[in-house]
Amino acid sequence: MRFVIIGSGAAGVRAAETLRQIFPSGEARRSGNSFEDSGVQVDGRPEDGQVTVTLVSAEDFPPYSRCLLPAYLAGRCREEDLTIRPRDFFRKLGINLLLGREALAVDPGKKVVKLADGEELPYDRLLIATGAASRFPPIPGIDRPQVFGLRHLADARAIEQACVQMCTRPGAHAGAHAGAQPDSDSRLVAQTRSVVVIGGGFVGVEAAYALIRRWGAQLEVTVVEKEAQILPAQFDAYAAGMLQREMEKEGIRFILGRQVGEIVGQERPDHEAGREVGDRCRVVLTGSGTAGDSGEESLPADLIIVAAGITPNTAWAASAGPAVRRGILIDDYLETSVPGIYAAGDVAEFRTLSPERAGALPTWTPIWPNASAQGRIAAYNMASRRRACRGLIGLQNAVEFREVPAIAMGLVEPPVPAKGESGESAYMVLVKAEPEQRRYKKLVLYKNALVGMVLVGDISQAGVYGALLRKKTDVSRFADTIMNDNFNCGHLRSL
Amino acid sequence: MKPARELKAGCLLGMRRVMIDAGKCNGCMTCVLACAGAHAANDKSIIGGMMEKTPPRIQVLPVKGRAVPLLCLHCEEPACVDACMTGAMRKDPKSGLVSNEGGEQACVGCWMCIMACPYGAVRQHPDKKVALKCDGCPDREVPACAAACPMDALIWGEVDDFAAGRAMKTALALLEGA
Ligand SMILES: Cc1cc2nc3c(=O)[nH]c(=O)nc-3n(C[C@H](O)[C@H](O)[C@H](O)COP(=O)(O)OP(=O)(O)OC[C@H]3O[C@@H](n4cnc5c(N)ncnc54)[C@H](O)[C@@H]3O)c2cc1C
Repeated sequence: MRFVIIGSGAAGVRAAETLRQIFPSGEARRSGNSFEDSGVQVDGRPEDGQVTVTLVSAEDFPPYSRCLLPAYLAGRCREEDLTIRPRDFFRKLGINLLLGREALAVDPGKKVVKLADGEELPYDRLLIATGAASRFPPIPGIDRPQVFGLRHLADARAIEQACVQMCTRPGAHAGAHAGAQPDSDSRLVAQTRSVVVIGGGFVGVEAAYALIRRWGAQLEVTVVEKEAQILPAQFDAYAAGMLQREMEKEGIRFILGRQVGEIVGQERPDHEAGREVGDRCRVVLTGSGTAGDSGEESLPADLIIVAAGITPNTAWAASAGPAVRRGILIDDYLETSVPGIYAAGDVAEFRTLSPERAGALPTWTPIWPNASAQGRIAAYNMASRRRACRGLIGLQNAVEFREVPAIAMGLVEPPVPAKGESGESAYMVLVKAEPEQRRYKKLVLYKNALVGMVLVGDISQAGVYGALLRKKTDVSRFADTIMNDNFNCGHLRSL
Repeated sequence: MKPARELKAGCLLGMRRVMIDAGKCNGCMTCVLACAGAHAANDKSIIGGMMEKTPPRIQVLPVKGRAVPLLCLHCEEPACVDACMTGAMRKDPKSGLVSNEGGEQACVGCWMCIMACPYGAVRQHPDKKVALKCDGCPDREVPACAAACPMDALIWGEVDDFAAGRAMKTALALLEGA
């Protein structure tokens, strides 16, 4: 049995290692890292050597966590700290790791994956785990050299290099804000370097926070978000406001309720000659903004980071003919419409909402924990151990800015009743705000079941609330304790 | 077709774990002190834990005036491992213990495991930006908490008996697989 996995992110790696737990090989088999040795019967396991697991990545770097790229940009971890498995992990487990190899097409008739270098990889079961790419909105000027996405290590390296150049060459502003230490390399003050981040979602905000922490002395960082709040997909307005204020204390500027309409070039002043990043440009804003908006029509930008969402990497697999909506459509067993071809992670989208996912939960759930879980469960199904994938929550995330942790999950704002709709809403919202303590807690209930939550400050019980949410438990029986500070899983005993 | 249970990575069956019989807990906190002591850097005693201010990994939760001990159950399919974005959180294939310490990959305190654990058994380290959880005392014959418990509320035994006897059964059943 030949298992081929394209894409070595969270989904691909988890799938490969799970396949090797089911079908151990080589060293791992001898050292006992297998189901067999933990007392689990695995029937019909092919003999050693009959199973191959091949993991292919277009990126020329061992499997790593893109969630850590902001930490890398902030200078808090090095490249080698980004890897998600020990150095010899893949070799020991008997996983054939092919790096720097891009898949171009699939021939489901011949059952081969065609690689860019012309090689054809035969497979019996194929997993598409190619993740997603930064989405560049169709804005005039978006193709200028100062514009970067943030998805791959290569992006982070390029952004870092651009920042280093901006901050260390003559003319870089030493001390954009009070008390800042001038960089040892920077010389006379001429002009502040400006970074504009397009998109105030998770990636944009993390990127801004990373740059300001590392280069806050030399860089001005502005985030432009089209909604009236940051983190609009995850947090409610109140929590987003709390987190925004923390980041403003670091020096990040936010422009909300406005969009970037165009990126235009700006002539380079003479004294700036020698620049390698390209010319400075201006970001032209549209829309009127939220209350207190400065009303400026454009912003200078030496570097622009686009964090306006992602597009699943489905195109290369189109030749296999799987049904695609936003992502490649999968059933509850993670199989695509083409038998023997599976998909998991950011590239995949569930065909339908199973009852467990119905309600506020979307079919596309592009976050790390879901990609891992899908990769793992896809592996079971590829190994003919049929197993449904249910109960993943699409919208959930954990963040921390200035030591204020926050976690949001599910539906954090009940839908506004439709016009003409009357009667009592089936939604109930419980809120406890302690802004001085930088604490906030909000639970959203729908017919006695928890459907959303926001925790800021104290996140200790996030997982317990999350479990109630996934299970759609009737929480009315502990209505008296659920908002208490010390609510915990022990309270569920009284059920 | 094999039933799903047999597929689970690092099956618990036959493995020894600390089981919780919450009804017997009187909230004396000896387990908490013993856990802190066992994880002290130098003097691995209750006094050592107190002197070094080692944070405990077991919790005794207040539940309507009663005490309920809680520690990591080292799940068969740990949600924290799926959620971990650095690869620090791993389930050891041999011992079945789940830990974010001692591997090549470091925990960075992203709190994804806290978000994922249905029991609330992972916490923020009080002093460092890392997640803190029960490591199962891999170097001890009997985990420190169970060895210290004077009430038999924490019992070291095989998972089979554990499943039958645990008093937190309803809660666990509710949350399992969530
Ligand atoms: C900056 C940033 C921060 C994030 N932070 C968080 C966070 O805190 N929490 C969270 O839950 N999620 C976070 N995410 C999202 C998370 O990283 C993704 O959900 C996760 O990586 C998805 O995993 P995946 O395996 O589906 O795809 P990916 O991680 O995208 O991996 C896909 C791999 O496939 C490769 N590939 C693509 N096409 C081909 C091809 N044709 N041939 C060969 N290889 C190919 C790609 O190069 C890539 O290596 C963050 C993302 C970014 C960019």
